[in-house]
This record gives sequence, structure tokens and C-alpha cells, in this order.
Amino acid sequence: MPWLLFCAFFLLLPTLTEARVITDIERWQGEVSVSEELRVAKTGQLFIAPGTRVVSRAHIEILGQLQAIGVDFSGDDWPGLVLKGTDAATLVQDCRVTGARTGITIIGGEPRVLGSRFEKNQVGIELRHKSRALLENNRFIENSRVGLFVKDEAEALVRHNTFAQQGKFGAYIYRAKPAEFRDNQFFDNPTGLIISYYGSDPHIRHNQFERNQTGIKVDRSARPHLYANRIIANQIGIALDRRSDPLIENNLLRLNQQAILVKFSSYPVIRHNDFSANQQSLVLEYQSSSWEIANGAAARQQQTTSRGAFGGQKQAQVTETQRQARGLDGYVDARKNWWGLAETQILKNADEEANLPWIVDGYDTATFEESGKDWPLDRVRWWPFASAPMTNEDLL
Amino acid sequence: MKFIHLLLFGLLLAGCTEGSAGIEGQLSFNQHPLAEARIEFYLKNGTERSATPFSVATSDAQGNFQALLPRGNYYLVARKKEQGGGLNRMLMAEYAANPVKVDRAFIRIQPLALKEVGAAGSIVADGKTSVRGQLQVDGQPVAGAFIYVYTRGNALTGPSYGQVTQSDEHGFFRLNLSAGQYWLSARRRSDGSRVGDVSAGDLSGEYPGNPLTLQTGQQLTLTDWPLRVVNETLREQKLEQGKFTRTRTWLSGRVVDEDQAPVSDIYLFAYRDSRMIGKPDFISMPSAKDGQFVLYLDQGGEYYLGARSTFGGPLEPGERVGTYDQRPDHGVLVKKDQQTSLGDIVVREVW
Repeated sequence: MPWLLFCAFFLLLPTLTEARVITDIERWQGEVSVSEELRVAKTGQLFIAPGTRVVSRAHIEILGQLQAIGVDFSGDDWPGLVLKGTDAATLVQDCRVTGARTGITIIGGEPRVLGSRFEKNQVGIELRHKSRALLENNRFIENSRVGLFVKDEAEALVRHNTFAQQGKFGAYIYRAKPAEFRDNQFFDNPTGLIISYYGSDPHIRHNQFERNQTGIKVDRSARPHLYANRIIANQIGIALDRRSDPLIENNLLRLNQQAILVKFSSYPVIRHNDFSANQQSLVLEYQSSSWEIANGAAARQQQTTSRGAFGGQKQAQVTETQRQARGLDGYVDARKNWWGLAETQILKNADEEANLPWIVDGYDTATFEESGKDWPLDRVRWWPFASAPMTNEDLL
Repeated sequence: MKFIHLLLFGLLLAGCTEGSAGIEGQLSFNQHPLAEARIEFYLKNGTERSATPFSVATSDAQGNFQALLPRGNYYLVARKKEQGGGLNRMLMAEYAANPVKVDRAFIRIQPLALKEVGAAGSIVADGKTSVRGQLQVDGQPVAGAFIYVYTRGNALTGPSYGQVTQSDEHGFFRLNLSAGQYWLSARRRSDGSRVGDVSAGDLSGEYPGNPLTLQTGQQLTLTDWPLRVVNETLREQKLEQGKFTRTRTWLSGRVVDEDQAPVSDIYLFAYRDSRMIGKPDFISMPSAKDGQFVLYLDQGGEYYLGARSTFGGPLEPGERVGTYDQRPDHGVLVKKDQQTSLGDIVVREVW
């Protein structure tokens, strides 16, 4: 009798599941088709058995608890799962999510998404509203826009995930500071990781960026700490744009066409990195502290009052003080790095004003033109340099 | 020829003066200059105000601010959020002489003194007057809901409340107020946030006895304030009764991407103001799977049209956005009680 009751309770749902709210415990297995919006209320619990295939055309919104282990979620341009304010009891593990506009939208809360595969969605996972979700050992493959979006001050733990062959970005950190972002791998993406906007200053540690067009892009006044990452065989290893001042420390930059590209009033601190076998190690473009002193604030003010997408949708919520560059002396600070084996031999015979062939700066092109006026291109301050590799890689 | 030269000179002059016009002034708090405060410039007042200001400036170390602005009338609101070091407060002030007219030069406004919002802020607690009560749903106490106190009763949503508190684990709350008239509203969002739109499954409710009129020293206990669960159907009906009201004057068309493929879930916005800024005057329902949309208007006239995948807040990466481009100013002339086809509106992704 208990077994019969259990079987009755253990719902088999091969047919269409209509729009409804789950307020109690519900269990799925087999083939489940969701045609209209489904909501698991705060009091509800949805357990989906391993091997279950869920085909959906609608939002599946979880306010209570979801446990999905070994489940296949699919659909044709379906909205995806929404986890709203769920706690750590909500678990998506060893699942596959495909065909969604956003595979899982996580709004607040601290659910766990482990060992799952997000493939051929528009966006794999989007984190919002200070979510402290744990994302670990997931694979983000061929999502047409972004593998992982971290937005809206999300404080998630993102580790040991793989991002390969997205349409635009492997991961996008926008106005957020994940509590952890480490030991992830980024392969063959147009941009592996982008960190954008003031306030986005996470620690990006021990990640691997390989064969991307751009490994890491830092944009619009973001100030992350890029520490001990392996950045290998990308077209551009790290690109800095629009007043971005990261601390770039203890990374390995190897076999990139351009290891670091610095543009538009960006003033990083580049310290204790190993550069090895890059075509160009450090390149400055449209980078002038004279321009920044003369025009930086005014240009940003103009941006502040300019019209937005179809009017004045203001983007600027950052003060000028917050965006001002520190110590504008015409130099980009790249002291105490190891520049490579052959390069070190050259450096041993060079003085600190030498024009180094692996650095493209104001020593190579004195000025650039902007609005009919010539501006001096900044130079790189590379002295003193490290005479031995700084990372633990075998480079000698 | 001379006339043309004069005309060109006039246009040049107009261009120059437009570029150097704006508003400047000084902010203070407790009679000290207030640095790093935001001053926001809106095109509309009160509840008509958009969530996003037209422009923002920040005060310097002496509390001074300056903003370049095009000609027009602006409503000024100053704010500063102070956190850390034991502080957690919001300072705020609306400029008493709003709107401020900007024409051809910088206008210097009177010094603007901010006050703390909350206990000693826009609603001042006199220490003797209070309201308390308990929130319930189906007879069960509601913990963790936010209770908002408004001093105007026209729209009990949004951030214009004067005080907010949160119910305790038994649903009880207490508001320290002073004599005056107040409107109360309570919401509990499933993600625990204090602000933002409610969605299905959240709890919401206005106090049925609104407005409350309190005398000095009165300690009022509210009874019978039930909240209800927000129902998606009811919420959509309410939206339809608001911005989506069906009328006999409408615009229709199709939203497509840059490859002419139909795009669903895009809202169309109609503005009467050619700058297309702030809260739109009319919003459509999201475009259908085939990209088709209908945008209802209440009367004829000149409208300026944009399209966007969300509404409210600044553009975020990944959003889709576009404009009606049959005219360079994105405008269309609409006749009352007529239906106008706009053709295709192209949206692009913003990254």
C-alpha cells in the first residue's frame, strides 16, 4: 500500500502540463511537456528525477525549491527557467539546457548549478539582483550571445566552468562583483570574458584564456584585479578600453598576437607578469594623458548629456571623480615584468629610455590625430624589469 | 547674400549659446557643503517623472555642481546615499522652485539643502506619534514585507515614499511619524528586494483605510490589513487598464531585426516630447511572435516613436532597441480615431 501511494504521488506526466502553480511537493519523471507558464510557489517543491526530458514552450519559474539532477531541458526558443530568490536547497546538477532565450535566469537567492551543460541558447545563465548562486563545473557551449551574464551587483561564486564557442562573449560581468571568479576556462570565443562599467571590480584568478579573439576585455571604467591567469594564443590577450584601470598581476601571457592592448585613457598597473613569445607584448592606441587632461572630463560630460538609444536614456550614473585617472604623467605603468627569454638579454644591455621592439607606444609613434589636433601618444614605463619569470610556469 | 551671411552667423551664435547653457548651484547638508551628491534633472514632475533622469551632475568638494543642458524646463532632485562607517542613510531634496528654465546661459539656483529620508528626513518623527499593525495573508502573518509611507495618494508605487519599514517575523511593524496625512502600501517581493516591480507570486496591498490622518501624539493600531498574492492575469489586466488601454487611435507595424526577421517581445514607446526622454506617454504590449504590434494612443497629434525590449532603467548590454525612422526625428503625425500603419521598425542589439 505505501508503495502504491508512493507511485500515485510520483507523478508521471507524459502529457501536456497546463498553466498552474505548484504549492506542494511534485515529482516529475519521463517525458514532460510544458506548454504554458508554470510556477513553483514559495511553498512548493519540484523534484525532477534523473533521465527526465522536459520540453518547454513557457517560463518555468521557481520561487520555492527545485531539484533537477540529470535532466534534459529543451525547447524551440523557449523562455527558460527562472529561479527567483531560491535558497541553496535549489539544485540543478548534471543537467542539459538547450534552445532557450536564457537557459536559467537567477534573480537573487543562492541556488546551486553544478556540472550542467548550457548549449545553443541565446544566453546560458543570467545572474541578477545580488544573487549569491554557486556555479561550478558547468559547460557553456555555442550559446549565440553570452554563456554567462553576471549583472546587477550579483555576488555569485563562479568556478571551474568552461566557456567555448559562444556567439559573442564567454562571460559578461556588468555592474557586478562576483564573490569568486576562478579556475574557469575560455576557449574559442570572440571575447572570452568582458568586464564592463564602473563598479565592476572583481578578482579574476587562475582562469585560462586560449584561442579567443580577445581573451579578456575591460571596458568603461571597470577596475578588476586580473591575477594569475593563463592567457595563451589569443589574438589579443587583454584589451583595455575607455578609462579602464585594472591591476594586471602575476599572469602568464604567451603566444598572443598582442598580449595587452591599452586604448582610450586606460591606466592599468601591469606588474609581475610573464610575457613569452607574443608577437607584440604591449600596445598603446589612442592613449594620451595630455588628451585626457584636456578633454577627458568634458567628453564624459558630453556623453552624460547626450541622447541615448532613442532619446536621453542616461547611462551615466558614475561621478566624474570616480572616473578620473590617477597620476597622468604620460606613462603607462608596466614595471617589474618578465618580458621573455630573448627580450631579457636585450634588456640587460638597454637603458630605461630604450625603445623596445615588443612594446608599441609613443617611442614608435609620437602622436595621433584627434579632431584635427595632434596628441602625444603615451609611453610605457617598463624599468625596472624582472630578470627571471615571475609565475611558476616552465618558461626557461 | 548678406542675408545668408547674417543667417549663418545667427545660427552659429545660437549653436554657441546652446552649448554653454545649463544649471549650476550648491548643495548642503546640516549647513555644510555636500560633496559627491547626485543632482538629477528631470523633464517632468512628481509621478510623471521617469525612472531615469535626463541628466545627472555630481557635486564637488565644495558642494558645487554644474550641468550643461539644452533649453527647456527641468525639475531638480538631489540625492546622496551614505553607507559604511556605521552610516546607512539617504539624503534627498527637491528644489522648491521647480521647474528651472534653461534658455541661453547658465542659471544659478538657490542653495539646496538636503535632508535625511526616513526617521529624521522627509517624514519627521516627533517621537510621540506612531502607527503599528500586522500584515496578513489568509490569516497568516507576513514577515519581511516592506511597508511604504507616502505623503501623496496619487500613486502608491515607486521610490517617492517618505518612509519605509519592514515587518518582523510575526508580521508586525511600527512607523514613527508626526501629525499629517499618509497613504500606506505594503509589498513583499519573492526575491526579498525593497524596490522594483512586483511579479506574480509576490504579495502586495494598499491599506484599505487610506489616507490615514494622524494628530500629534496619536498612537494608532491598524487592524485588518490583508495583502493579496499578485496574480499575473490581474497584473496584466491592470497594465492594460493603464498604459495599454485600447482606444480607437492606434499605430501598428512590425518589429524586425537587421536581417528583416520578425522580433517578438519588443515594446513600442510613444513620446509627445521630441527628445524622447523619460517615461513614455504610451507603451504597447510586447510584439508578437511575428513581430506585429499595436500601440494605442488617446488622441491625435505628433508622436515620436522608439522600440525597446524592456522598459525602465538605463540600457543594458544585450537589449534590443530601435526607432521609427521614416522621419529623421522619429516622429509621426497621427489623426484621432484613425489607424496608422508604420511598416517595419528595425531593432538592433546593444552591446
